[in-house]
Amino acid sequence: MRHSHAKTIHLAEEAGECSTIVLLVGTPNSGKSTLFNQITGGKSRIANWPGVTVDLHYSRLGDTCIVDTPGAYAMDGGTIEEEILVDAITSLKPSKIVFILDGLQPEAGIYLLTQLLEAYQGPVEVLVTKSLLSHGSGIHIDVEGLSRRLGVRINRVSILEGVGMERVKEAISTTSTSKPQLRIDYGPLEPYISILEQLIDEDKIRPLSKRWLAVQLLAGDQVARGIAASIGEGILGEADRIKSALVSQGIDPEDVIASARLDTAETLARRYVIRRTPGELGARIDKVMLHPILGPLASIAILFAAFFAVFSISIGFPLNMILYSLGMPHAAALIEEYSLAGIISMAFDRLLSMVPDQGLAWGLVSGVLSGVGVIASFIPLIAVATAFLAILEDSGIMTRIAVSLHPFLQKLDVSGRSIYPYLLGLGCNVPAIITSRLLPAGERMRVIFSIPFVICSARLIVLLAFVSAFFKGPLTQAVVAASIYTLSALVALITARIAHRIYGGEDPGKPYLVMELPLMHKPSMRVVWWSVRSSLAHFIRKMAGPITVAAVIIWLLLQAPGSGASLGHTIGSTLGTIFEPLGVGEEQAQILGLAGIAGSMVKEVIVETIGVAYGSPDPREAVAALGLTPVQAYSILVFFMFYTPCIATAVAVYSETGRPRLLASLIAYSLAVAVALMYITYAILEVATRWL
Amino acid sequence: MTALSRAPEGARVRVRSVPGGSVGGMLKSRGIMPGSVLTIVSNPSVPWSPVIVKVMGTRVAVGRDVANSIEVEVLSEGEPVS
Repeated sequence: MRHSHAKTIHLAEEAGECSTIVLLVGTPNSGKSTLFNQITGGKSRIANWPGVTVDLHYSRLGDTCIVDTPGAYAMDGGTIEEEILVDAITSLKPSKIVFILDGLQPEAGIYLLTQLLEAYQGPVEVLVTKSLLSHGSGIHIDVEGLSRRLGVRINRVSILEGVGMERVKEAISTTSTSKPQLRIDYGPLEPYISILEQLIDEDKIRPLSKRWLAVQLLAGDQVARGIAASIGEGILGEADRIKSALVSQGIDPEDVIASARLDTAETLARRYVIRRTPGELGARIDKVMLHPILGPLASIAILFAAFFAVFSISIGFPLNMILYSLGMPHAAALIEEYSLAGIISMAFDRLLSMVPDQGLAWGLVSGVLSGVGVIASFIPLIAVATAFLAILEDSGIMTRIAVSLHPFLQKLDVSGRSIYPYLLGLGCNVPAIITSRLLPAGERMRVIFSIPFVICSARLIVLLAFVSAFFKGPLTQAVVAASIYTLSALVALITARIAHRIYGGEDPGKPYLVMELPLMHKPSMRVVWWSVRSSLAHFIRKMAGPITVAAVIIWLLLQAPGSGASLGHTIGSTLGTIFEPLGVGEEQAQILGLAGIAGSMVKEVIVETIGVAYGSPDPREAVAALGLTPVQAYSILVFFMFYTPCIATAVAVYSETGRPRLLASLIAYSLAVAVALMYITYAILEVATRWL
Repeated sequence: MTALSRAPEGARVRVRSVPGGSVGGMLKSRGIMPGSVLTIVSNPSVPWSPVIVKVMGTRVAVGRDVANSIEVEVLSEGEPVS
């Protein structure tokens, strides 16, 4: 085969222990993952994003193995999902395929189903999903008629509403006697298809049909060519000879095959599917969202509203800042204290205060507690961010946002969909990295790698402390803050480009827009809950442990045994030497270095550490005590914005990519970028101020 | 023969050719390939807006740059569809 997908091979080995293998096949968003989750007790993720199941999920029920294939629209090997689908059939040799026909998009499902029936010779069972919803949207499918016509059993189910679960079990477990009967007439190609069929040994390609393989070879399908090359000499040569002979007669086999298939599917759809106009509200929302001017404006408004809600509910930011700047510091403090994270951290502070203050035991216990406290404070953030994303995705609004913002973001090589994770990054990088799951694999890598350069709310605290301590006047302060954000956007975009070069894989890099618009519908709270549950489970299982361990290590490093010479202080002073070329005094440089080490745990600790060193609880006063010049302050601020991802972000990068080397290069790259930018900024500003 | 980006709203068109490479794969997987018949749902005359077509019962948004490189033949001018 052209591609050997490691996952499939691995599965094939394990599948040796299954007496029967059942494949679930369907178009993206057909409800396949929902169904799989329901059967298997929720081990797989759900999303309303085509191709989220690029991994093959599988589960065992007794000695039957159920494999969830990625959603595909065809079986031509045109996309990675299509390739995996064909690969799964050839390598796993399923004894049955359960086809999931999307009740909301039956036409696309019928097209894929006709291709599957051509390709696969074993029994096929069809389940029409979302049947209650599709009925409500005015879509009616003549299940009995279609079933008779295709010779397969077709049943309606509605998984979210729990309708027809017994039919699902039946479809998976009973031995099917269905005899699919579908033969597409390819007209002028028929004699040549027969010639090729005679060259193919059916036993070698079972359960694929030789007629399908012959047709695919004439269609120029690369995956089919791979299969043909592996089963015998001369087949490819004959196919190529026939193709060029046909082309010289003015017949383009690809055209003939594509048209015949489309005709067949469209005829079936016209005959067995009735559509009434979609809902009033959905149509009205679409009028706004797809409008060339209102659409982008509405999208930005929705995204900012979501951003505001996610972070205000979970950590109080940015509502607290707004209240503060309106002259309501008490209300601001209240919002922060009673945000979900505020309540959790209060509980942990209370626990910490109960630990007796002495000895190594105290050190360990309070170290672990503060680590667990960090974990606990992330939980509301991840839950709320995932819930909002699930609502936007499931309702179909996210697709509209992606479409309407695409033309503007494309210029930056950013796709419409990646705007949600980037925007979340302004609040916190961790949920940003976790929610980047909605992106295709290739694009996801560059988004994950560049998100740490988006200035989060913890770094905003550092930014504000420096700006208010060293710059006078609201205008200067605003310009300084805005310039830092602009720099961060530039660094993130350039980093994304570099990351694409290295980790991009098959992704084209340039985001093209070809996106199906799912029908708008009311988001299902069960889907939202499943999505939240799955990302929280992932966070707790995969990330909580490493974050706690790293937090304890840094915490222990910084605990001074006796005098002030802990290992953390030594590393801090070493790091501090990088500030000396800026003309910063040795003592200040050491404090800054220590702040940098401590800040790698949680960024706002940078300010706290400086505060502790100067014995000042007020962040502005503490930072001002460093006595830096504006040029020094600006350059050091640039360093602190980019120098390393915090522990939680680092662990998120690792757990989402599973590549320790990628994380190591991210940290090294961040440090290098931060140091270089600090020196460059300093040099430019020094020269500029001298000239002015 | 004209580019998809220049087809009028409401028209039914037949696709003559699509670009190759990964874009071609994406188009094909959503049912847009030589021979398929599309209905133009919306095609605002602004240089940035995507073209929305109906194909096999589903609506697909196609970026203007991609629509520029799809050749179509207009079958009927038709009435605007909702």
